[in-house]
Amino acid sequence: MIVGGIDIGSATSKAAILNGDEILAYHMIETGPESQGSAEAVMEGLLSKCGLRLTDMEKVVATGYGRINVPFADEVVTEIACHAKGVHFLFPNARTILDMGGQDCKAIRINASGDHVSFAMNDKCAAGTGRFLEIMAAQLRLPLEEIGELSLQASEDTKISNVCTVFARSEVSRHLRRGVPKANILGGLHAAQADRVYALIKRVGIEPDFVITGGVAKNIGVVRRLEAKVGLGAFISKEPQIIGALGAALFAKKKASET
Amino acid sequence: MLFAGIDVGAQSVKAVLFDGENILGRKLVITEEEAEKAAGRLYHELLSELDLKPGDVETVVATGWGAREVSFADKTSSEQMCAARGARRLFPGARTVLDMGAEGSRAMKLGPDGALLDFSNNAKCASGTGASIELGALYLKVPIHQMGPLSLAAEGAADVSSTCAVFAESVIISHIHQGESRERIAAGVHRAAATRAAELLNRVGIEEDVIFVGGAALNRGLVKSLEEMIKVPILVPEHPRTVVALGAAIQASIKKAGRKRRENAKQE
Repeated sequence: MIVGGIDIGSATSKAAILNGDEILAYHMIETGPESQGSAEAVMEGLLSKCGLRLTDMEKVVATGYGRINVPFADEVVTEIACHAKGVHFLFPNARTILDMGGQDCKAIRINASGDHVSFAMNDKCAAGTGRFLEIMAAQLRLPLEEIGELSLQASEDTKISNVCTVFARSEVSRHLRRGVPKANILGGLHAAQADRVYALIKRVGIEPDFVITGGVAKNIGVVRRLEAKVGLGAFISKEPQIIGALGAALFAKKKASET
Repeated sequence: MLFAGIDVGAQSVKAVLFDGENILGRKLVITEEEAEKAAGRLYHELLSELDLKPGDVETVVATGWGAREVSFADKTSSEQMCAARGARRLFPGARTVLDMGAEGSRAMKLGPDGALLDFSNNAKCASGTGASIELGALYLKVPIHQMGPLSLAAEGAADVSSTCAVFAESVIISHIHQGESRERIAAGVHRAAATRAAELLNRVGIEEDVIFVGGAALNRGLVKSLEEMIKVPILVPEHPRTVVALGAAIQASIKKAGRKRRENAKQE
């Protein structure tokens, strides 16, 4: 049985295709100004990767912030449920999930069957989201992919006293003018990011296994600092950004087998 | 007898000289320099414009987030107190004061006698401060002083998030892509800032006269948007940016009088 899942996030759009329990392919693009166009583009890219057509999929489930704008989706499922499902599929012992996305951050507690039992979310403030790191990378004129690694080379973490991304950005430029090394500024920024996110995880309570998903899971600086705070090593899949789409595809599979 | 007030804000430093009755001079500089240096230079420039020397000034009071860095000040005073004093001086009927600067905003409630009864602050979030309007101007590619006129030409307003200035930016960009008019986007940016300002005002309770001070008060689009929201006319002084510095100078004169009174009392 071939089914698809699509996750339209604020920063990236992801899609995954399953044949039974096997992931045939996944695909990821930047979300454009319009969700529907992004949904069509990511699905087209995915299908061409595995030589399939839209009609080959028995069901498609959409999730993410733009999920209502996916014209070819049969159903929509919340991001929380999809992340829980996707993580449980890859890591059956997972109990605490942290999903760090481009424009929000969620902490989710799941039980042994993979159902979410509680969650906490920040989607109101850019601090603690991928956007914070993107803006800081741009301010420091460094590639986003490199800032996490660089932050681990800090000789000391420069204290960042503002929580607000806009004010923290001005603070960063003041530090730069004073000649503070970029690695130390990054150390402080990553520590601030970890503090902010840790406050969210504490609200749901931490129980092993601890899994991190979302684009920020690729940032080793945030991950290492969070592991130190939580006191647990984090499980991160090879492609942490497609977990929502994978979960959506698993829901599609479940719904297809029910009908 | 002369008194000086220095207000060190996030983006600019302001100085006011006051003789207990009249404002002798006011000066402002937008600067990224250290507070101490910028404040010192501004103060000396103001004094020399008036043919005065530092020795002619009885007391200097500093306020604003960089107040403690002003080493030549005799005392510091809170921005809330200074904004209340300055606004009350200019508008004797002032009962509610809103101060919105580049990186913060606050609402003050005054009693019938002008005493500061209550206040509410936002110093942690860019949304609802001048910074949110500056970001809007940046994405609309218009100079900051044109934001107000642009929004006043709008019919209605585009929906812009008031919870986070960074997330508002993505909304603005998507409005631009979807062909929304610049005027309506500018109006939306002001409505978002006004929403946050109205929240602050409602926390202390709105009573007339309502006075709006700080750099953002120069923005007629914002003033109009806020008036529509709180349904009360808003009074803006001629020089809204130096009202807090004026308040600091008034504090300098009051504190001086207070000390005199205490000294007299001791002698008796």
